[in-house]
Parts: sequence; structure tokens; C-alpha cells
Amino acid sequence: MTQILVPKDLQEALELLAIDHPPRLLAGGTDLLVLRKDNPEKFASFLVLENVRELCGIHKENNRIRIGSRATHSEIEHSSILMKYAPVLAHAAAEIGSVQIRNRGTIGGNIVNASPAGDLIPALIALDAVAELHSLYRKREIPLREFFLGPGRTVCRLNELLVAIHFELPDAREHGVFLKIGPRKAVACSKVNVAVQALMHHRTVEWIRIALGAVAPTVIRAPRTEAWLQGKRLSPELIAEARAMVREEISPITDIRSTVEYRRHVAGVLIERALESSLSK
Amino acid sequence: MFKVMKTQSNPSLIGSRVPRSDARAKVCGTEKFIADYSLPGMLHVAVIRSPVPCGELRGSNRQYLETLPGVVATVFAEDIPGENCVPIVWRDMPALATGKAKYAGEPVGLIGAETAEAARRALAMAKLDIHPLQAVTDPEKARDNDALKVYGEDNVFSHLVIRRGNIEKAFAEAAAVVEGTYRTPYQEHAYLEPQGMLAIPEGDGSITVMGSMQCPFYVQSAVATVLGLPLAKVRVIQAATGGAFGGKEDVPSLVATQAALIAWKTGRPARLIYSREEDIISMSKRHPAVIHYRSAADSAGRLLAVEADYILDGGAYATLSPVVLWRSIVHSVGPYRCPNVKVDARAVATNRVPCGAFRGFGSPQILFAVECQMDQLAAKLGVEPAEIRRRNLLAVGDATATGQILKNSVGSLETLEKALAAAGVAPSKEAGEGRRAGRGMSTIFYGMGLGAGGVHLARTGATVQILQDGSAIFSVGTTEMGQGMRTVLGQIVAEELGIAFNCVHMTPTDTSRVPDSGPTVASRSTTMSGNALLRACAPLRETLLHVAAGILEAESANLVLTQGKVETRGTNPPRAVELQKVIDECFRRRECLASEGWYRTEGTTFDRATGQGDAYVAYAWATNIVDIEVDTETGVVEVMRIVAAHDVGRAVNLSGVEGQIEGGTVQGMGYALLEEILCQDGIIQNSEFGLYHIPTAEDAPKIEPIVVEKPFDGGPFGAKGFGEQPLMGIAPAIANAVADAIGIRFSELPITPERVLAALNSKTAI
Amino acid sequence: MSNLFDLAVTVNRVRYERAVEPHILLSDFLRHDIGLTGTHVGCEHGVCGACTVLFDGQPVRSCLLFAVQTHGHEVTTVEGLGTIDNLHPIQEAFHEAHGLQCGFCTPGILTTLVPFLEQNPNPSEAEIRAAISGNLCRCTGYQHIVDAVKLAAEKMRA
Repeated sequence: MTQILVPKDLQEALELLAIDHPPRLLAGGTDLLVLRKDNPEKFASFLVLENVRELCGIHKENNRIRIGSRATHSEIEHSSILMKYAPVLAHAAAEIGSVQIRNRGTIGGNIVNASPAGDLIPALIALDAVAELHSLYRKREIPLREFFLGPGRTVCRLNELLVAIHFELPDAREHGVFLKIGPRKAVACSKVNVAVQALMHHRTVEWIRIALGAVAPTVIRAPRTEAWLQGKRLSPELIAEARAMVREEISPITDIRSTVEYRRHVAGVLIERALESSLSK
Repeated sequence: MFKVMKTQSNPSLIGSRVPRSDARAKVCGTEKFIADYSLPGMLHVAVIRSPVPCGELRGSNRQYLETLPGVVATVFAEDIPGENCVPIVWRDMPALATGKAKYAGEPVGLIGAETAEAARRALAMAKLDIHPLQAVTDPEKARDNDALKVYGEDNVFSHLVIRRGNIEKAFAEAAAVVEGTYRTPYQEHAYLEPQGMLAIPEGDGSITVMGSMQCPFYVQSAVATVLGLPLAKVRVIQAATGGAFGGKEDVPSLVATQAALIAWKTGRPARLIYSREEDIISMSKRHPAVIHYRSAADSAGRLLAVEADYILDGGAYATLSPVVLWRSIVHSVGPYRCPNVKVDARAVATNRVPCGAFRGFGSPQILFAVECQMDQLAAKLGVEPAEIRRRNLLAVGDATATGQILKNSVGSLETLEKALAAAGVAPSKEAGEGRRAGRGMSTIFYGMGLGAGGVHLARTGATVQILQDGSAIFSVGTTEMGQGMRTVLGQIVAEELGIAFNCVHMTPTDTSRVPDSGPTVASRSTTMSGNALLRACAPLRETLLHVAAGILEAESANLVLTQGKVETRGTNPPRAVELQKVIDECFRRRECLASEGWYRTEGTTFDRATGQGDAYVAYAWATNIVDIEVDTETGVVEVMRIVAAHDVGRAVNLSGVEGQIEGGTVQGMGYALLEEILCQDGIIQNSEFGLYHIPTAEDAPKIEPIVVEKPFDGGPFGAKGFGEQPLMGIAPAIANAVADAIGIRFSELPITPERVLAALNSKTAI
Repeated sequence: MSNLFDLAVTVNRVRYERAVEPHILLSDFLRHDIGLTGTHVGCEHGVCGACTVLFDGQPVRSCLLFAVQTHGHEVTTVEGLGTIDNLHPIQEAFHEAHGLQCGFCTPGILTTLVPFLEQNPNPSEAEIRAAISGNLCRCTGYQHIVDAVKLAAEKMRA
């Protein structure tokens, strides 16, 4: 028998989670209810976050941006704050599923679902975002790049709740790009996705963060390529080398959605295109 | 109620764009699909299926299942009161597997429960004692001598041939020969409405079955067989059907037996709505094919000879494979003159899901090979793709590959020229950095109706009745599944009787209303039911004119029946009487204003030894021109534009014809580029819509439909059936366009980015 | 064992109060509990879009929501747009412009379009295609649907 709990605020939600076999958190439900279809008995109780207002909103707070975990993909896609300061995230949100999914699916769900192909995750990692986890007894902050342990596995414990994600306010001169390739133009799970956030000065890379999805058990950074690009002046030759270097840094697999060869190749192509787009700025 | 226009001045409904007669109900959500019907006491059915492609059935935990909450009954093969058989072309498929399960997903047992959830919960607890056996899951290996036998001595359901002329001599003398091996995949129908049936045991010992289906008379036969009832005690009514495309031709018979067996055992109504997953794993698909094809032409670019040897993977049971194979072989040379032909085609048995009907019915596979070969012949001879087709297209007086002399209604060349004119100049091959553009074409044909391969079913009935208020109802034995038959037939009745289109109503297709009219397949509804309706309307017209003649004091031969009135011809000024007055007078005189019509096609022949004969009464013709761009860095092929010219004889509803062209074209695009059932060791891996990718609105290109009308004298108002044709030539046109763009010939579908990129990187064809 | 949830939801401007099983999906609630069968279920995985309804005015997949999540909210289904003798302009346009064939996907497309056309009175072809890209149609090839949306926009501007 399914049990549905509807806490009225964050405190009550955390209390309801502070038990031995806590309920599953249900935000937009766009992933969870699909999983439940195949195995309803596994999902006996749900904590519906519909009324927990503390999880809402996208705010600019001094020198950082904080996004409540229940912000939907649509809210992120259309947020004027994100369009201005972190377009990489708004663009990633716009690429998710369908309008119906984006209207329900949340940033928190996308993160804790921990799909290696989740579209928001590379954008957030490129922004060096931090997850705020609350339980009844403590709060902790985990950089998103350390958050994922494997497909569907994260450091978030069963009685913890992802309350918000924040990242340092990007400098106005920073540039961010999200690119993905899926099996069709809409309602498509990524075969490969990439996000790049960089600060360029006269075509010279002051720093760059590169994140790639669906090319490893979790979304990953490409630290060697990043380090190598730093301080160098972007040129077609340099971009070609970065493309090759990224392909060495990833460990894609062949699965039902694509092949190892294709993912490796296209990851390089998407990085190349992201860097070219930076070059044109 | 919306306003009823009793009189309408439009002189002819035929060729108009009158809105669909079912559109109002469909935009309001009031149209009732089978899942929308619910009855008091109704049980919900779940199907226990084999998890393995081949296994010996030793038992089940049915006693335990029957103790579960909400479970009312289970049914296994031993409980079947009649014959455990779903008759399709042959009688080799059981309703419930017994002894041996032959494909993963094959039905083995049924659960009837008080709620859908109780049925699903019980299904999750169901256990089959099944001993896995080695399976034949590769169709190319099914014919090996040491392959296990799924069917007969050689795993061949059917072997058909064409023998015409002397191919050895022709190949020896040819100026150009091209040869290729082509592979085409499963295609899933992906109708939006899953399969579903509702069986209602009646108090009088009969049973009524409603559901989503193309062929009520097939369902009637299957239910009667399984329950051991006379056909007279099985009534089948079609519910609104949410897409079919062939996928609701044969398999609804199987689904209906599942609902009927639970209903019969319990005496309660029983409904079964498939989940998308069980629909994909267990329902029919387009046959995968492996085709070896060799073509020869002389130096003038004339096709001299064709040799083809190919297999279709029929799956575990024959179902429709023998007739799919037949249509396929009749189309195996394409719409071209070719004096020397040797074709061997086989439908082979494997431990995979049975394949059946899908828009084109065996022809898309072979036409993919035919049209890829034509482009390669053209390249070898240094002529344009359009030119080689122009030189070889069949015209009136020519013989087809089966030796049929074409007598009329051949619009092949006209579709070619009109498509070329509309397409204009091909875009430049350089389409920006990392992008190459290409244009490809295909010219195809489609034998309309069942042809000689299904001549025993080539019949249809219809009834028409004029009611006292001047409205009319009609019934036919074919079905509306979205294709627009109901609208087109309504136009025909309205046109014939002079009654306003919106006062003509079609009753749901029901086996108790009209005689067995065969299936709704083969693009036959407009012509077959249209002709039956014309015959049903003829005596009614006669009565109306006879009575009007009395009123107008004129000879009935000098009267014409137009919309809303009868008027004199040849008098000045014409004298007229309102149709309603004539109908009133008919009722006053107690004239019969109800009539039946019956139509059967005549004259098709086929000699199995040589593959020669007059295969079909007529053919539809089409030319597709496709512009694509290839992203050479990601391998993504984007379709920019498709010009599709179709000779339909006569378009009864122009918007309906365009809708068929556009819809079929996009299905063909999916077949070419996106759609792939991944089957590993006989088990389907991607049984959900998130993993089987059909085109979205953003994937679908701009389509420019062109309607060519070469009237067919055997069709109503000259119409030919053509609904399947739009899908059939798209895949080769896209493959030809890709070859044009990047110089690589793909002979395997779908042309996925992974395949394109692998080929670009190795510079070889895949 | 009963742990029914007292659900109060406004559907098509009518308030419904029902004690429901907590795990009932919104699509099932609409179709079975309150008899609004115009919302269709095509894939149960949130992919096809046939089950689209408006949740506080925004299109969502009703197969991916528990009914209880709509407690205190407003839902609009195709039945809430217009009636057979008083069609909504979008319904009128789909009727006139042959914007459907089998009609199974149609209710989900119509509901998706309501907020879209309110916010985009004069959409481009590309915008229309993007707007309905979350609604699969296997019959039409989308072209007559796009034509119908253009006609609907025209009607709604008038």
C-alpha cells in the first residue's frame, strides 16, 4: 500500500525523513514515477515536496546565485537572473525532455537522480555549484563535482534533503555554453552533453571548466584539458588539440543509446564547438 | 446541437476538403476508444508471457495466483473450450502457448481480476516453470542445415519466385551491373493508442467483443475458434481506433481471445488494455529483411535483368508472412520494365516475435533495395537518377515484372515530372562548415487492394438507409482507424444521394450489420467500400428519381439528383423539387429507402510456379524527392524537405490525401533514420517510447504533397487506394540523398549518426 | 487497510472532493474517478504526451503525477476547452484544417497549445513545432497540425 506524506514545510519534511526507512522524496516525479512503474512495490512511501516553500525560488544573493531544489526546468529556462548570469544553465534546462516534463521536473530531482546523462548536471559542474544538504540534525555543503558516486548513486543520504544549489556569481565577462546530442531533436535523452564555462581575455583562456555527461559513470570534469588550455590563446589548432585531449579523458561505454566510438568522437566535436563559440565572443 | 445544413449548394463533394466527420468528437475528447468503455462487474485481464525466446512449459503457480486478492480466474491452454488457435493465414499460432513457448513475450496464461491493479499485482507474482531451450534468433542462420527447427523441415514458411526471361544471357550482355546486400530492420507501428479489447458475454449464450482493430471479421473468427462457438454467436464491434498502420490487422485477434477467454470462463465482461511495453514486445512488427540484389542495364540505361534472393524474418508463427511475402515479391522490380527477372523470396521462422502487416506490407524492404540499385546503375552509366527512371518507368501497355499488361491509370511518369518541377534545382553540396547537402529520389508503385494473393477476401458489403428527415446512415465492413475512410465514404454517399455531408452518418463497423467484408488493409477501403456503397446507393437513387419524376411530371431518365434537390435536365428553365419533398413522398408511398451493396474484384491471377499473372487490378504511383544535410562531424542526417507526388486516381478528399502523404512520409523518415528495435538473443531491449524514437514535430521536415490524378475506371469516381504508398519510397530516397551528399552508400537501415560517422571515419559503406 | 487521501481539486472549473488511494495517478483519477476520458494514456512513461493536461494553467504529463499532488490546485483537460457545439478556437481550427487523423494524440496537443497560443499570439512555424514537440503523433506527419495551429492563432487574434 502506497503511503503519501505531504509535509507543510521544511522542518516537517526533515522530521519525516529522520526515521530508519525514510520515504522517497517526490518533487516533479518525472523520473521517479517512471521508475515506480516498473517496480511499484519498491516505492512504498513518498514524501511529496509540493508545499515546501523553502525549496522554491531562484535568487541572486550578493555574490552568489542560489536555486531552490524545487525550481523546475521551465523556471530555470526562463529565469532572467540565470539568462543574465548563467545562461549555460538556462540553455541546459531548455534542452530537457518536453515542455510538459520541464514544467514539472526539478533541478533537485535532476541532480539526485544522478543520471550520467542528466542535462543540468554538466552545466552546474561547469559553474562549480555546491549542493546544500539538510537533515534534521545537520546541514552540509558538497561541491557538485564530489556529489556523484555512480549511475543513480550520490553522497546524499536517505534522511537528507537537497535543499538548494548555489554557485558564485559569474563574472560578467565569463562565457558559458551547453551543447548536447540526442537521438532526435526533442524529447531526447543525451547521448553526450557538454558544458563549458570560461573566462577569456583577448582570446586567452584565463580559466575554463569543462564538464561532460554520458561519457563516464558520472558527469565528469576534464581537468587535464582545462589545465592545458589555461593561459593559452585560443586558435583553431589549439581547439583541435583540446578536442583530442578531451577524448582521452573520458571513458564512455556502448549501451542502448549509443556506442563508445560515437560518444568519444562526438564529445570532442561538442567541446570543439563550445570552444569555437567562446572564440567568436 | 451544431447547425445542420440541410441543403448545400456545393455541386460536388468529391475532390473537396470537407472536414473529417469524426473531427468534432476527436477535438472534444468525446470519441470513445476502447479504454474509455467500462461496464459494471467488468474484470481486468493481465497476460502471463514467456520470458524466454524458446522454452519448454512445465507448469505454473496458477493455484497460488487464484488465491490472491481480487483475482477471479486464470486461464491456461488446457482451459480453452474451443480450439487453441488464432487463425490468420494459416492455423499455426495458438492463443496460449502449450508445450513450448516460441518467442519472448508469447502469451502463456491469463489472469482476470476485479481491478487493473489487482491483475497487475497478480501478474508480478506469476511464475512459469519453463525450461529454456536453445533458440533460433538470427534469421540469416535460420536456414542453415544445422539450425534448430522452429517451423517445418527448413524454417521456411513460404518460398515465392518470379521466373521471367533469361537472366544469365541478360547479365552476360549488360553494359552495367550493380550488386548489393541490403538489410532493413524491424519497424514498430507505434500507434499512439495501445491494443485493447473488451469482451462481453451476453445472456443469450453469445458474446460481443469491442476493441481497437482493423479487421472485425478476423477477430470474429478467432473468438469463435477459441470459444468453440459458431460465428453467428460472436459479434464484433470496432471502437474508435487510435492508429493502426497494419499493427491492428492480425494481432487484435490474439488480444481479443485473451479478453474473451476470461469473459467466457467467468461470465463477466472482461477488458484488456495493453501497456506500451507489452505492446512493443509482443505485437507484430515490420519484417526485418536481408536482400541480395543484382541489376543489369544496357548502355542506353534500360533495365535488362534483375536477380534477387531475400528473406523476411517472419518470427515464431506464420501469421501474415505468406501474404506479406507475396506483396513484396510483386513489387520486387519496382515500377520498371524488365524483361528478365529471377527472384527467390522466403519468409523464415525464428524464435522472435511474429511479424505482420505494416504500411507497405513487405514492399518497403524490397523497394529500398530496388531504388538504391537504380541510383547505382545510373551512376555507373553516367546518367542522372531521374533520367534512368524516366527511361524505365512502366507506362500503359507495358508489362510488369509479373507479366501484367497495364491497361489504364498509370501516372508514374507524371509523378516523376511533377516532383522534379516542384523540387527545382538541388541545393549546393556545400551546406556550411562541416555540413554536406544531398538530394535523393525514389519512384515506386503500389498494387492496390488484396490482389491475387488475397483474392478470396476481395469482397465488401455495405448498407445505406435514408431516414424520414432526409438524413442517411450507412454501414460498411471496413474500419476507420484514422486514415479518413469514414469521411471519404460519407462524401461518396452524400454525393450519390444528394444529401448534405453532415447529415450522413456511418455506424460503427459491426459484424452483425454487414456481411464478412474481409480486412481493412491493402489501401482498399475507399475503393472497395466505396464501390459497395455506390451499389447500395444505386437503387435508392432510382427510387428517388422515379418518385421525383412523378412529382415533376417528367421522365426519370431526364432528372438529375444534386445536393438537396432533383431537377430536370434539358428543359428551360429547369424544374426542380426539393429532395426532402421527394423523400416525404417516398415515405408516404411506403417505398423502401434502404439498400445493400456488394462488391468483389475480378480478374486477378498469379501462377506460383513462375510468379506471373495479373497481380492487382490497378496500381498507384509515386515519386519522392528528398533534400538532406549531413553533419559530417556528428553524423546526424537532417531531412530538409520532401516533395512527394502520388497518383491516387482521384482524390475524394484532398486534405485527407495530403494528410496520408504527410503522415506516411514521416513514418518513412523514421524508418530511414531513427527507428530501431534492439533485439538481443531474441529479447527486445527497448520496449518503451523513451527508447524507440519516432519523429517529433521538430524532426519532421517540410513536406510538399503533390496529387496526381489518373483516374482508375474500377474505382469510385476514379479513386485508387494509396494510403500505404507514402511510406514506401522514403527510405531509399533518403539513402540516395546521403550517398549524393557524402559519397557513401548505406545499404542498412536505419542510417543512424553512429553508422554515418563510422562510415565517414573509415570511408567505407556500411 | 485504508489510508485514503481527501483530495480537493478543481477540474475544468468544477470542484471535486474525493477520497482517493494515494498512489492513483492523475490520469487514472481523471479517467476513472471523474469520468473525463478525453485525456488519453499512450505510453505511461511521460514520453508521448497524449495524457497532457493543464496544471495551474501549464501543460504537464498526467501519467507522471499522483492525483494527490493536485490537491488545492486547478486542472484543465480537453473537456474544459469547449463543447461539441461550442468549440474553443483551437478545436475549431483542428476541425477545419484537418489537424488530426486517429485523434488519440489530439487532446494532449490541444491542451498543450492553450497557454502557448495565449503567450505567443503570432508564432512562427519553428516555434509551433517546438511547442508541440512533446506530443507524439504517428498519423499526420505534423504538417496539418502546424497548419491548424496557425489557423488557431489567427482565430484567437481575431
